[in-house]
Amino acid sequence: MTIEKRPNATADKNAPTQAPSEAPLAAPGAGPKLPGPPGVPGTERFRLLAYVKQESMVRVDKRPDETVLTWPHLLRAEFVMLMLMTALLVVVSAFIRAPLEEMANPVITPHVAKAPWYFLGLQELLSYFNATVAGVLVIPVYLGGLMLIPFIDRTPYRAARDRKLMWVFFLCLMIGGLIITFIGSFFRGPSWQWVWPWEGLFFTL
Amino acid sequence: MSDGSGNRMTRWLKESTVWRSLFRHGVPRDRRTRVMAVMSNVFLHLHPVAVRKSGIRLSFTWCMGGLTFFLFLAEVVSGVLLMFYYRPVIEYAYQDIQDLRAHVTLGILREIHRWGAHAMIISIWLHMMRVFLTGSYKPPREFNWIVGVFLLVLTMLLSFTGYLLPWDQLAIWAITVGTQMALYAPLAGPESSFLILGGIEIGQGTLLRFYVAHVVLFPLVTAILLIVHFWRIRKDGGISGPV
Repeated sequence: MTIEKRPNATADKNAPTQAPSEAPLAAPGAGPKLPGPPGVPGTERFRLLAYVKQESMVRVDKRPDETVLTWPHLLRAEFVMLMLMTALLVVVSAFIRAPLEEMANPVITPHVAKAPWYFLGLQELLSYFNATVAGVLVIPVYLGGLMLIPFIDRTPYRAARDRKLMWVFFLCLMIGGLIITFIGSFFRGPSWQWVWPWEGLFFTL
Repeated sequence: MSDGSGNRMTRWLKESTVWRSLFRHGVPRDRRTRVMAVMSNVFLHLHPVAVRKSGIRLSFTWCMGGLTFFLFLAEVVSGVLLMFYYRPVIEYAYQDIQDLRAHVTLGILREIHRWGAHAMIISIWLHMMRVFLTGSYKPPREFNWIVGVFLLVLTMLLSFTGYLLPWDQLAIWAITVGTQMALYAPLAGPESSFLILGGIEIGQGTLLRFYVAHVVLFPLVTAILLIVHFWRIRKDGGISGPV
């Protein structure tokens, strides 16, 4: 009963204007009426409507932390980086031509056929193993492994010192990938033979 | 123009219905208007109003996620401009690329597009490194990490499909090698080869397929996943911040 009668900001707008004007009149001496101020014993009743036993949909770690306004602190940094990147891109593009060889001819096979550079690690890897086995293993395991990282590493720690094993494992994977990409890019020549970079560079971006 | 009339002009402009329909707050100089500027703008509203001070330090984020997104936008803009000059037909494609270099004003469009694409692969890789090293894939962010892996794959696919379009020797032989490698994957057979190449070997069918995938299909999927990626960052508490 008391809950419904309690005036609040939204109800007041549509209700007849009695409640606000009456409240101060009734106040002195007589003590709070039914819609009493919060915290006065005996004037409030609470009813448990429902107990929702559920994780919050937004699972956010709300530690007290020092925050700054997005405008200007974050936006300024983003703008500066954007300008630097634009300048870099324009300058590089003005001075370095994108490669263009003679028109495609499916009949003429070039000496060196390499995939785009980001696949050269894969190409290098495929040259070690039986192609089908490597193909079956490499791509799915690499991508699947990447996607499973959050589910493999279930420790609640984020600091490097608390998850050394994961760090070492991941860095080995990444640096290994870098090394074979590097080998595939600069140390492989015609028919995927080993070539030292000073003997000839078979690399096009 | 005297000072007074300038002020009057400015005031008249700022009180006009048109101006006030565009801007619902003053110049973002104090706390209130700065909050409103971010809240009332759909693009700025990608960000929360306030961010963790330690989370936006350059030494923490390396700015690589933001740069990857910026490079994606740069690729979209330069790519759309390139589409005005390029025809995905094997008789014309190579000639169109040559004409781009020779006859188009500010003929560095293709360079911007190509170097931007390479930069994007490097920046997305560095972004992944940063997210791993700071442990930012930890709950509740596991799903966003997976979205990120898909975005990495899409970035490579975008770059790979674009590689064929100049239709020079470099392009078709790199794509030949690349698709052969892709076909080692399980469940790939002659049918999937035909599906990718649009024919038995690289030809007109391949060029058209790669073109459509490059300019419509993959960018669209990427854009959708980017929305999911950004949304999840917001829902999971913003930039993760150092431990």
